[in-house]
Amino acid sequence: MDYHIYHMFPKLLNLYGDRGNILTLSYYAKQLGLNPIVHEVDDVDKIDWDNVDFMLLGGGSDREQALVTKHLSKIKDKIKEEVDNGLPVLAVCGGYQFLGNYYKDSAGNVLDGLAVLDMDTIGQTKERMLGNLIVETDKFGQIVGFVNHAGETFHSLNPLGNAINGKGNNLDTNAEGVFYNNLIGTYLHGPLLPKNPELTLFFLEQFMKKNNLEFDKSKIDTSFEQEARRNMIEKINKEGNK
Amino acid sequence: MSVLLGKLAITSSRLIGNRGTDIGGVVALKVNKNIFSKLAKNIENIILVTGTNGKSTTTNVIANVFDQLEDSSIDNRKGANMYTGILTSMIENYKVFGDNKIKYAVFEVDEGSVPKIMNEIEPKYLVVTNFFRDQLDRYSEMDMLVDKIDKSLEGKKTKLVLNVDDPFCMRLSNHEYIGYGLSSTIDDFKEGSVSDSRFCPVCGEELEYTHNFYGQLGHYHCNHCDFKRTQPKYELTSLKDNTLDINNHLYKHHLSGAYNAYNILGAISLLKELNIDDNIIEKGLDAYKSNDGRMQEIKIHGNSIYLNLVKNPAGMNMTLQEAEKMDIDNMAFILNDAEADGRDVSWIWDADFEYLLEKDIKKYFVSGTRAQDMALRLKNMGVDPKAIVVDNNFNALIDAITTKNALVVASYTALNDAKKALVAKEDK
Repeated sequence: MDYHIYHMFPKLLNLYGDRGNILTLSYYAKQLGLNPIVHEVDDVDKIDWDNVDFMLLGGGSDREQALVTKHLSKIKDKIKEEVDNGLPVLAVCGGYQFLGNYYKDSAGNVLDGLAVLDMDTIGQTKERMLGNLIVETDKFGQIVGFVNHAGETFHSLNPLGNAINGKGNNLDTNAEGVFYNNLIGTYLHGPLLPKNPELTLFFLEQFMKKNNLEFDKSKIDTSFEQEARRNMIEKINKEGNK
Repeated sequence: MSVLLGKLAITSSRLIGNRGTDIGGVVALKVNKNIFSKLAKNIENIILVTGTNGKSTTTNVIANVFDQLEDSSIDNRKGANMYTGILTSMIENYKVFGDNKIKYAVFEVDEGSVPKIMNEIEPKYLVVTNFFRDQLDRYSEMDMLVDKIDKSLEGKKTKLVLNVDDPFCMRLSNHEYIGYGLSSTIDDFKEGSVSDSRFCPVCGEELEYTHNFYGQLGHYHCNHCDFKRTQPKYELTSLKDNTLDINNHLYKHHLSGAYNAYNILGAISLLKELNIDDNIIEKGLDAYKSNDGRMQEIKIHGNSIYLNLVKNPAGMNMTLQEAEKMDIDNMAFILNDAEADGRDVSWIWDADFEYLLEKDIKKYFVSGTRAQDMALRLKNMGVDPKAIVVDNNFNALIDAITTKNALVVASYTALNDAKKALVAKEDK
């Protein structure tokens, strides 16, 4: 069975190795007997909405992010509808910020977001949130990644988890990311999926369930993943998030 | 006096086992803060080489050609490439008794140190190889870097030698320059799977390419303003069989890697501008074999072990393209995440390791502080997990790696230790 992965604007949103998320998802999909098809979207009119199984919104620099938002604003209502209906989405860093109402930069300029989720992001110059981070989640256990942002995101939605060795969405909270239906938004990259197999499996589980396919986790050997996570957690415990 | 103290500091630092590539400069500066420009005045032709990738090799080629001349020359081949490192090289070469007039000096300079150095001296030439994003620098940071170099050149007579195939280099073309580049006949590079975003530095629109060599290097123009690549004075039309055809003259060399064609081309362009004879250039090229961990060959148990430094996705892609052509059975990666390597290693997912799948690699060895990330990168592209050997300690892997011909790729802070460990086992 085909598994349609939509990678949104990979040429522009390519700052944090997000291709690794796609590679990892494809790799797992194959282990489950699926046929992953990756669509690199640079024209929103070419999205076949009946066949979108997963969507990735990566991070880019401010200039590239602004360009992408222009394109995506054309389909913001559609994205919201799909997310509300349970479309699995991973949004990382800039992609996460732009799911909100707006991004106000440190000079006070306001860039409209996609308003898929009720949240706002405000740029600041006091302190950059930077380094390796462990996030404790209810659903996925401890996840690890690297953060590098100055924007502070504010929302009252369900966070992905709580950062245990640093700041989360903003300087006043440990709450990190957002978990809404099957959408995960987060500042964690690294990229996120390779070292956090529980998340990759979660996205695939949604697809298997929706298509009444048996989801047999044991087909996927995650021992390399566990080793990589262990190495990071050990490192962070030793060195902090420096 | 400051020079003497600097020399003393270098010697003492080495006596206690350090490399002493910065200390001399640091000490001398404490005594005389004008020491840099003062020493530079003894040198008739100062050449600086900067850029993200290739500056060491370009500098090495130039220095090896200078070695063939009867004229006096100095360089920082052995030294560090920031302000105090270059100062240390000048101090080391200073003769306390005797004539200190030097004809040529070539210094590799860290990109970030160019403004500080330009502030004190007026070099004859500045060679700029390319600007790639290191790890995850945002383009805006690179924009700022190029702007600073641009500003530091204002009012100087320094002539630039620019890689015209790089739009970032061409941002400096408002200064007097001569260009070098590859002709459209060159087809020795493979297209990468993820293209960098390539924008016009003048108006910000996406550039259009008629040819693309690698990264953002190619033949480009902007459809929205008049920014474009210019025809280079020194053009490479072929690089087959370790022979470069530059302006209809053939130069043989011993460096592997198609990307090294750019470095040799840049060096030769500079040397031609200095009116150095082709036969001297040829002698210099013949004399130069890599010994600095840039595709350096080390023979162990009769096997060829190649060691190469990789700092960013562009460099990794060039190395992997080269690996595909090499006669090797084993691959090794040493990935560290110290500050100088970039603490965020997510860039490894942007590089095209997939090239290796077309090759019959028997075993992959991964090491360094982030060995496990590297192992995942390989596994998730389809390498059989059983063919991947992980150990955070490189020394524990050396014996296994060197049982066959191998390529060892090291990140910045891993390079020196890896080189030392491999050279210690080199066949006598």
